[in-house]
Amino acid sequence: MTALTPILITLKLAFFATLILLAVGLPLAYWLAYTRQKWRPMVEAIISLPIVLPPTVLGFYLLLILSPNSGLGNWLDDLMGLRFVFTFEGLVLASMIYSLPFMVHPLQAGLIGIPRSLREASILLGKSTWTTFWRVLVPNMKPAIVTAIVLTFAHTIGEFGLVLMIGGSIPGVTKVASIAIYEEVEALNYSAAHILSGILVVLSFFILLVIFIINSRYRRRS
Amino acid sequence: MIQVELHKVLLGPKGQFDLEISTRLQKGSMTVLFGESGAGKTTTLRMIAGLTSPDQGKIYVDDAVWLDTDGKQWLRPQERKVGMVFQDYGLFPNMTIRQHMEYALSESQNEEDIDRILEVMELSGLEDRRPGALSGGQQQRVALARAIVQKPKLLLLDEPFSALDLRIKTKLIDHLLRVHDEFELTTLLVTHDYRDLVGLADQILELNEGRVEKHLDYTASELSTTVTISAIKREGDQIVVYYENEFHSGRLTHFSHEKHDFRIGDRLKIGILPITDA
Repeated sequence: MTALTPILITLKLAFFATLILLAVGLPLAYWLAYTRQKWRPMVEAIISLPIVLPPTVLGFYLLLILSPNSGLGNWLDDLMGLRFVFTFEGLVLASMIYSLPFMVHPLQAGLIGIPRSLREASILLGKSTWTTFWRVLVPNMKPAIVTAIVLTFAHTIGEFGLVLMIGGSIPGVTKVASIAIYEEVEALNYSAAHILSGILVVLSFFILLVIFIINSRYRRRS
Repeated sequence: MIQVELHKVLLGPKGQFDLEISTRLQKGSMTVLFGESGAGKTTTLRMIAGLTSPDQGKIYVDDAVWLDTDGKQWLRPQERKVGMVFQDYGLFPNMTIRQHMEYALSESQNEEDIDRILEVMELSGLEDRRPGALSGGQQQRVALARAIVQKPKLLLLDEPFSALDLRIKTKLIDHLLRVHDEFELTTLLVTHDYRDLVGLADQILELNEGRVEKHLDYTASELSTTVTISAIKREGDQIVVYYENEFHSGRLTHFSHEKHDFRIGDRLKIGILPITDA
């Protein structure tokens, strides 16, 4: 374990949370974009809650729900041997809930932005919803996908309150960069805080830069 | 033979109205459906394609049932074998022209079908281009080519000429007629500007206040059309009745000593003969 371990944990966390969220977010965004169900606003409101709520509120409830003393936590532990409190898996799950709107909203907007006739033309050519999704919709919403991935990744890097509550700052396991910086500052260890903060600033800047370059190339091509 | 009976309550510019479609399309015929915007033309096409549900209706295509709300039958749009050219073309920005054709190709077909269609549509040199690198008229032709790859039982065209200038419009009509004949298509074309198509269509229908009025039917054994009386004048001992519709105008004479009950605005059914310019 080195001084940079928290950075690596942060990156690992953001990577897994984003990857799994992309798989969850695409079908969810598809449903939200095209469903005529009356309870769509309800689902949209639930997905958007993490934008409004303080992360500590989410953390508090997740802690209660997932703790081995609760019904669900106990069941997960017994059945699958999964523990989500004070573990890396718990951080990934909490981050997914926390960043869900940042994945779903851009994807949903991307889908809505595709003219209806593209989807309908594909269906009238005899193609299934699945084929239409992968061959017609996804390739024509690449900027939205890139935006969703970046926002989710960046948002996960930046979380603090939620990971502190659900992860408990265990060195080498759940102590992410944002928590490490906070603790270093509290210990008046400014040079260590500088190193971690500086790395985060540079890293975040380059991630965003790459995204904007990709998006402007795409825009120029189409 | 395609038989269509559809009913749906729609919201038009003048408020709610009942759309009542009842028509037959002969196999291999070209039918033009015209009417003002908001008359329900696009909705009619969408209901036939299965993209919009009617409140009630039946669609029979040869022996197959596409729709029968009484019998609760509904064939998915994927299975209807409808080719459709959308008003905004609906081309896929991520695919080249050839990829469009390959995407449209069904498993039982081979690439030769694509080559032939591209040739007829004069798109052969443009195969590697994407829609963004094509003119409006070329995009229109790609949309038409893509729609006929699977040899549809019914080709639907939604306002295909609205965005095109006259020269390109004429060219497209030419292409349309060529593929219509060559691939033995049954075609239903929706437009607000029917004039270019008079004489090319087998059947011209008007959608007016939610109902279909038949104007010309060259597939029927009896050639007739409905006209409106525009003026009634006395000329000597004759009453002259002037009539017109979008395609025909004329007069008929009536001796004044016979009683007549013509009124301006009355609708008359008259027989017509197709006359070719000598």
